[in-house]
Amino acid sequence: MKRRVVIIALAVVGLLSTGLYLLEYEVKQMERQLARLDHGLRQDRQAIQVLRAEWSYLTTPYRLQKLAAKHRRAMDLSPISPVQIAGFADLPQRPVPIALAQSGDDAWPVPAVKPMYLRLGLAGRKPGRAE
Amino acid sequence: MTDRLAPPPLSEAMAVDPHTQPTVQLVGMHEHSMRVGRSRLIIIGMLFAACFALIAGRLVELSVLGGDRGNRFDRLAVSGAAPSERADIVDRNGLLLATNLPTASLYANARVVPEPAHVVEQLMRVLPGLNRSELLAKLTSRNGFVWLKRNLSPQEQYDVNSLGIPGLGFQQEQRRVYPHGRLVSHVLGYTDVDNNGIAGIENYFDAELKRRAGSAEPIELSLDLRVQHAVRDELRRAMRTFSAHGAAGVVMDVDTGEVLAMVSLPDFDSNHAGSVVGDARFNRVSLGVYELGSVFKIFTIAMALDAGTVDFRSGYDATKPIRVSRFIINDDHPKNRWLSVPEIFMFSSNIGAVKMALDVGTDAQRAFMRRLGMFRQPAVELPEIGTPLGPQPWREVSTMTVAFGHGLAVSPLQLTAGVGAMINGGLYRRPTLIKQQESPAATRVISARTSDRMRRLMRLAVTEGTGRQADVPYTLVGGKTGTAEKARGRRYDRNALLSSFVAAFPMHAPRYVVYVLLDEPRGTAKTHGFASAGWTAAPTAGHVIARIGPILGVAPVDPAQPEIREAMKVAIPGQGAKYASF
Repeated sequence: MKRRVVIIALAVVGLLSTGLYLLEYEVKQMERQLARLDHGLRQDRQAIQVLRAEWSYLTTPYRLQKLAAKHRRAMDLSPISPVQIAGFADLPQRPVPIALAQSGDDAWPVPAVKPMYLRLGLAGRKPGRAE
Repeated sequence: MTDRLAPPPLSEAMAVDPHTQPTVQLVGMHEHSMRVGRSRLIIIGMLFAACFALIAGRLVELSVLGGDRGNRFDRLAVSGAAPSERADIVDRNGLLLATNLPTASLYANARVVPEPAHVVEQLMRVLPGLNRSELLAKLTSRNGFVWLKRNLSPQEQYDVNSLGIPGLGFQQEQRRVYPHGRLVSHVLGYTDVDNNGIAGIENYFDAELKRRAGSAEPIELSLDLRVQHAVRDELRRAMRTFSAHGAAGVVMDVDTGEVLAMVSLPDFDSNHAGSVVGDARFNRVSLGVYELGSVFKIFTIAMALDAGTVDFRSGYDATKPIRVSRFIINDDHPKNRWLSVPEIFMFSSNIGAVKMALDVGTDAQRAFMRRLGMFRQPAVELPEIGTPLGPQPWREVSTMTVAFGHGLAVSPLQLTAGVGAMINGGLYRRPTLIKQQESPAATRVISARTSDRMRRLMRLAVTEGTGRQADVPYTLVGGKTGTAEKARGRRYDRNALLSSFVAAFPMHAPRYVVYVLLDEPRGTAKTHGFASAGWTAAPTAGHVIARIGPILGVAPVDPAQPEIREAMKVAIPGQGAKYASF
């Protein structure tokens, strides 16, 4: 009787200490992982901060303007002129009887309501500095 | 314990309790030693038990309750935020204007550094910007901590590191960085090396920026970086074209008071604010106060229309100059005839404006100017705010000169806010540099009807008057020129002009006011030598509007449309209706 109690007690102690040891070991592992992730997170955030600053620096309007001027010919870019702005109200209604500008195979549909730049007869003109 | 050493009475030794009866019975000296030994064992055992209980308790606390490591998640939460000492500043569209970046700063423990003279030689090779004698003094100071150079570039840090000098160290620091350099410098201001804001928004919101540090909550300005650039670019071009000393530009939303652009030239790079020479740090928009000239006629005429002393049919005789004490008030564009109120505005007649102001009266004029905020510092979020300078005391001659913008010096920002109130329906809103979520409180200064008339007049001045060169097709620009001679001592200098133009668009429903000021422009061959506002500031304002209109999404206006024609109609006596929209 007495012996059995001692054996059970010893087994319990053994199991508990092993379990505790394994648990503790696992916790340590996870803690290390946590620290690693934490560190990585911190570094990534710092990198994002640096990249945001760099993005802002590289997209500063002055630089974009210089680049646009440099590649103007290649990219066919020019500043928007006031008449190029339109709202939804200026859009032609969807179900319009579409008139065909030309009959034949190369005909193209024409909206019933003319956009402003067409109304003003500016179509085809190069939009640019309004002077 | 001493009593235990004494032999116990015999009776006690003999009277043995049968239950505690020891297996070995000793008597005499032996018995005594045994008892002492037992009691000592018990005491020691209890001590050990207490110690083990303590250790067990601590074990339970550490493993079960988690002990003092329980706040590790708090630590994670703290480090999870962006590591920053100062919050970011962004523009109204969220574009980054100011942020903190990590850098390394070099320090030395002068007690540890060996052979200072040799170390100085080595350091000078990789950091040529340092001062040799200063460096030597620092390294021989026997101080435990001296800064050698703050904010090294990564390359510099690498170079110093590879020298391998003992006693040198790097401190991780943060540096304020302004990615747009000069573009927003006067508004943002700058910080010192310890990241304290000492000018501009950085100074005004210093405590707030520090409080928000680490949170992802930037300060949102009302500025629009694209508009800011367009204004600065056009002002720079105008400064070059007209060889001006300086320039200033403001764009303001008339319905919220939000400032979309604030440019003062010459400017500086906020990243290197310490090395600025001259007046580049001077903010001409908010800190400079100037006698701005004829743009003030907007206020004079609005005041007279609102007071009911004139309407569009009335007018004044502008044939003779007005003489007051030592002044002669004359017209710059003399017509030498009777002028109606719209003509007084479009030809910018000083004589007409003076007579109009006199009819309204000095007290009413002062009250009107006070309501427009012309006598106090505008409550904008900058530490650099100029105090307006008015005539002391305010005599009748002051009323006359203020009518055409002399004698009262205000900042361009005050003027812009005032003009905004004249055309937005008559509500004055204080100018602000912070993005507004809803339309802020406003005070009524003129009636909606007067405001509507002012819109027509400002459009008229662009179609028929002095501001023709500011017109932009399909944008319906309205405005007023102002050419002021700068005061030199007690006289005005005919050759040193402040040419300015205040514009608004689109004039049938104004949304933005644009103010452009050129400091001492010179005429060019193209302007036939004229440096007045109509030839210099007006076209510059026109260029600005042509660029920012599309950016701000202002829809084009066809001035030939009947309702636009009607909204801009001005009846000029004797000439029939003028359709100012053409």
